[in-house]
Formats: sequence, structure tokens, C-alpha cells
Amino acid sequence: MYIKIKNNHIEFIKSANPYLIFATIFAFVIGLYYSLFQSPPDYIQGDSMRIMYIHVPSAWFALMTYSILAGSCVLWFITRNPLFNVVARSIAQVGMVFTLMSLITGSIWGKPTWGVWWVWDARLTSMLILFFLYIAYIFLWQAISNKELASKISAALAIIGFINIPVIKFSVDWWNTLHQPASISKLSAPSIDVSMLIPLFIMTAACFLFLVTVSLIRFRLVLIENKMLRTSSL
Amino acid sequence: MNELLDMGGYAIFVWSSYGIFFFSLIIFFLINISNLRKYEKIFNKTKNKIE
Amino acid sequence: MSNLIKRDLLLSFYSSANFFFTVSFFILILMLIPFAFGTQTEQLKVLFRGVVWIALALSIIITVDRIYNDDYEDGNLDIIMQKNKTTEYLIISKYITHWFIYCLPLLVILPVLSFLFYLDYLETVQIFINLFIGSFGMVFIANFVSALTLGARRTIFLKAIIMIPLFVPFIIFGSDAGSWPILLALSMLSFVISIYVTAYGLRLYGE
Repeated sequence: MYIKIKNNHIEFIKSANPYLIFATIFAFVIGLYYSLFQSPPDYIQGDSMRIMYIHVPSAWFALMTYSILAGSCVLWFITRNPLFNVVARSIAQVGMVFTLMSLITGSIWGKPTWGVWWVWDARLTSMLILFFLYIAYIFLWQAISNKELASKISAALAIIGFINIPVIKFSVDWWNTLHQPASISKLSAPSIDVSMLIPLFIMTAACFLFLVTVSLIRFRLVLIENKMLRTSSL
Repeated sequence: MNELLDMGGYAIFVWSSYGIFFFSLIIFFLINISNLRKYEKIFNKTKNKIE
Repeated sequence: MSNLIKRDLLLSFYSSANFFFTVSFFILILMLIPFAFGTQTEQLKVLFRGVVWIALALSIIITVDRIYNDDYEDGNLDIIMQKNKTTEYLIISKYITHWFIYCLPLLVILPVLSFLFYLDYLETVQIFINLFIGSFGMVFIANFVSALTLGARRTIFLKAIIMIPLFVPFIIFGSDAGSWPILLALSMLSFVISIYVTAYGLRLYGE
């Protein structure tokens, strides 16, 4: 399972870049149109629940990105294929941004619905811890001067931090706290109306496209960084 | 139009959260693009020197 | 292994942190409670349970730089690791010495401190049991963080950022009176993770 990155792969990623950017912008425009104009306001929370359309996708991708990060670190340790390390390093910062965004938008959403900006309940706190795990992963890599060692060390840390992900996922079910449980967990009958589901899924797709676009840009960045470190021209 | 901007009384919350979200996504994207350009420039310069 | 423990204890006694320093540190941290929060008896009782854990976490965080870094920088770590083929002996001796120097003093003065904060006999015993079990887990975590970050020098804040999220479960269950079985489970789990990760980190840097 040794995948080698060749020049034509990078050329392909480079050529796909403008299309991806265009698709991301297009998806966000459509998603904004649906989430701000086309969807009805919630009958309890009113228009403030429109924040959900950006809060929920960013929280999902914060968790998914960390799972990919930890998974690729595990695969890197198993297969010794440096591609996985590059993937982990290129995806980490996007995840950090999504985590921060879900925290901020959630906090803004919390003010009109709960009456406070922040509650110290299990899900919010574990999300905050996830943000610090991302920071630890990114900045530990920068702090260690021997970069090969730094990758191994920060990968080990990312794998240990994965313990937090199930805690976030099930914290609303384990502890009965203020944060509402997931509405779309049951695939057959989600407890949310279709008119709200459509903008949510468009925004999710848009966030996914953003994730892919920026991670591919960072992928090229990390590859160049690696080459420069190898020739020690940085 | 005013009804849309008002957001049923939740205008500050909705618009500020959307604003912060898209602003930081765009800023993050631009930072990465400019970093990539910068690194490519430096890399090409050093490659030419080695050759 | 007993040689290693003896060496570390002697080194710490003569150089940086002997028993009196650590005890004074804990007393001074806890002395800040009445200054910061006022002197109502009931409030002090509640705060003491929490701040005693924060004091323990602080003493572990500010000393995380000393566990392996001194030995790594003057080259002793390589010699020790070449002499004993099993790195785990070194790690376990470090656990014991680190706990002995920076956690035991808190447990020793805990009865006196809780007397000063108006806690009764039973509550003191409960806090003592929780601290005794939880401090081991926190020491295990500090050890593997120290071993992983050997190459990142003078980054105590980064180490705190790495460690404090991992301390959170200990502090959640530690400030709860009857939850020592959960603390025991957490400490055992962190021992299992820590001994592998510490050995991994030390071997990476030892090569």
C-alpha cells in the first residue's frame, strides 16, 4: 500500500484547483440563498435558528477532520508511508478553523436561545478541548526543530487526543445537558423538517468543498515545505 | 427587504455569526493561497540556484 | 531501579526542589483562596476541594520541564538507556520520584490544610483518597508529555496546553467525593498509555 506522489498528481491537483474554488463559491451562494431566503423560521426559536445552517456543518467537519487526522496518523505509523503524514498536516489547520467557527457561531446562537453566551456543559467544554488539541498538534510540530521527529511526536499526540472524539459525540446522550441532542442521527426519520434539511445539506456540501479545496492547497504547501526542509533552504 | 434584514428581531445574532463565519473562512483561504505562492517562489529560486 | 530512584531524589533534594519548597508552594497557593474569594466558611470549604486539585496540577505543570530534560541535555539519559536495556525501568523510577517530590508533600500537609479550611475528618479522608489516586494518573500524563516534548525546549506554555485537556477528567471526578473508583480506572488507563508513549518518545530522542 505504498502510494508515491508523482509530479503529474500534483499537476492534476493544481489544475483542479480553480474548479474547486468555483464549486465552493457556487455551493456557498446556493446554500446562503436557501438558508436565508428559502427556509422557514423555526416556530420556537424563530429566525435565530438560521445560525444552525453554519453551526452544525462546521461542528460536523471539526469532528470529521480530527477523525481523518488521527486515522491518517495511525495509518502513517502502520504503513510508514509519508503521504499520510502530509495528509494529516495539511488537514489539521482547516479542522482548527472549523472548530473555532462552530464554537463562535454556537456561542452567538446560545445568546438568544439560552440567554447566555456560554454554558459549561459537556459538549461545549469538550469542543473547546478539541480546539486545544488542534492547537497542540499544530504548534508542537512547529516547536520541535527536528522536523522528522516533530511529525512523529505530534502524530502520537493526535492519536492520544482521539479519546476526546467519542466523548464529544455522545456527551449529549450520556449527560443530559442543555445542548440539544442531534436531530439527524436517525437516518430513517430525522426529527427535522425537509425544508430545513435542504439548506443544511447544501451548506454541509459547501463546507465539505471548502475543506477539500483548502486541504489540497495546503497539501501542495506542505509538500513544498517538506522539499525545502530536505534541501534545508528554508 | 427590511423584513429579511431584521430576521425577526434576531438580526445582530444571525448576521454577525454569518459574517464572522464567512470572513474567517475567506481570510484563512487567502492566507493559505498567499503562503503557497510565497513558498513556490522561494522554492523555484533555490531550485534554479542549485541547477 | 532503586539506584535511579535514589539518584533522582538526591539530585532534587540538593538542587532545585526539596520537600520544604514544595510544601511552601502548596501552602502559598492555597493561601490565595481567602485573599481572592473572601473568608466565608461555607465558600472556603467548597473552594478548597477544587483549588487543591488546581494546586496539584500547577505543581505538575511547572515541573514538567525537569522530568527528562535535564538528563537529556547533559547526556545522562543516553547513558542510562544504554546501561538498562529495558527503558521501562527508567520510566517507572521517574514516575515514582516525580510523584514523591511534587505530589507527596501535598498529601502530607493535606490534613493540616483542611483543618485550616474547616473541613471535617471524613471529608479530609475522602479528599485524601481522591488526591492519592488521581495524582498518580496526572504524574503518568506529565511523564509522557515530558518525554514527547524533549525536543521543544522552554515551551512550558505549549506543554501546559497539551497537558491540561488531559488533566480535565481527573479534575472532574477528583472534586467529586465518592468517585475514587473512576479515578482509579483513569489512573490505570493513563498508566497503560503513558508507559508505551513515554518509551516511544525516549527511544525516538535516544537514537
